[in-house]
Amino acid sequence: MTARHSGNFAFLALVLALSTLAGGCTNVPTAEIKVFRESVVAANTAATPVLDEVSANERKIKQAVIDARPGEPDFRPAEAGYFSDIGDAPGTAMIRRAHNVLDRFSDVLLGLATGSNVDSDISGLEGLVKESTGLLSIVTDFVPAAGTAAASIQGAFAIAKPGLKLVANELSHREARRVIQMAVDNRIVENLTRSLVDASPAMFNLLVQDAFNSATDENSSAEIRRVAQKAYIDRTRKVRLLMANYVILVQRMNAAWDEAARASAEKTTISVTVLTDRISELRAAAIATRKAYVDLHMSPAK
Amino acid sequence: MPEQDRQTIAAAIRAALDVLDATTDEARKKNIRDSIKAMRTQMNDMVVSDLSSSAAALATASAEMQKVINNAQPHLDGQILQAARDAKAALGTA
Repeated sequence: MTARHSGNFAFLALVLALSTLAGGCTNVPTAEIKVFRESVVAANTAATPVLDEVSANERKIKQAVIDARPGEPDFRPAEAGYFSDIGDAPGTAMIRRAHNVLDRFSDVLLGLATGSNVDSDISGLEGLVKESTGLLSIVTDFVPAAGTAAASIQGAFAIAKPGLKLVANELSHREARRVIQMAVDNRIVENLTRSLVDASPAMFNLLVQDAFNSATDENSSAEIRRVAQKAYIDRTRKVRLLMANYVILVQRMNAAWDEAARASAEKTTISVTVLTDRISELRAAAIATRKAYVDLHMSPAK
Repeated sequence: MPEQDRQTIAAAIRAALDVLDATTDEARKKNIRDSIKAMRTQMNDMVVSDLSSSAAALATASAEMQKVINNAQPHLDGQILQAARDAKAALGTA
């Protein structure tokens, strides 16, 4: 093997050495990460229609502000997001992005914890080996048992495969733990979920503002305003329930994260029964929030 | 926007509506309507600005999390596979 080849595969050698020195598998709280992932999915599922509503209201209220501006109508590029029907209104877009980032974070972490990438990695490696016998000799250098089955490329790789898979899994688990530690050190989940909760009063106010405007329309008669006031009160109750469910889901997401981080630090894990129960609870909470959203658009009770 | 400010404007609008309902003088009614309209615009602007402020805090927190994702992503994409690709490329050019 040339120095160049050695350099390219130094990484693999290092991985094998690390795995051997570790003397076993790295503990990863996979069950807790699954609950965290489920809690993120539940919160995002519940948030989607809420954010659609917030976006529509953000545009409507901002347009009213712009329409009330004195002078001749104008167009300001900085305000395009409040008029365009492409994507969300500016403020809502940032809230939705926070949910999307959380979704990606939990997905990447679960992928690392469960080694979901490992099988495709090994398949990819097998494909590369089939294309290059030189590469096979490098791979088998690191998995000595494979050297004895040099009769065919496929035979040699079949023997090398379990060892490579172990190494890939170990690497994936180590990375999961590193990501958890990095997230704990920088409090990234805590900061993001707290910011989402902090944004909820602004979302509430925006969601009821249009109804408030109707209830206090100076051009309507007192009688019409009284009817609109009832609708406003009804909407505030429904929006309060909707936002309360949303906030609870976001807080559960943070609690699930805390549990995953604690389990990673203490090398503990929850049972399958507890895991199933937690996931069922989260799904039920997401359904309750969706129901609250549907109720928001139903006529008030007579 | 402090919630107190929103509540104060809402109370002022409602008080102005009570005066409007009790007024018969058309010129005075117009003044009151203009005043309510100005207060409503101020309240609308506050509500939208408040969401923008909250969203700005979220953008910072999202960016921090994105950094961690970007850092972890290459690992999820497969270090072993990438190393093999590099090795194969090197074999091809050696």
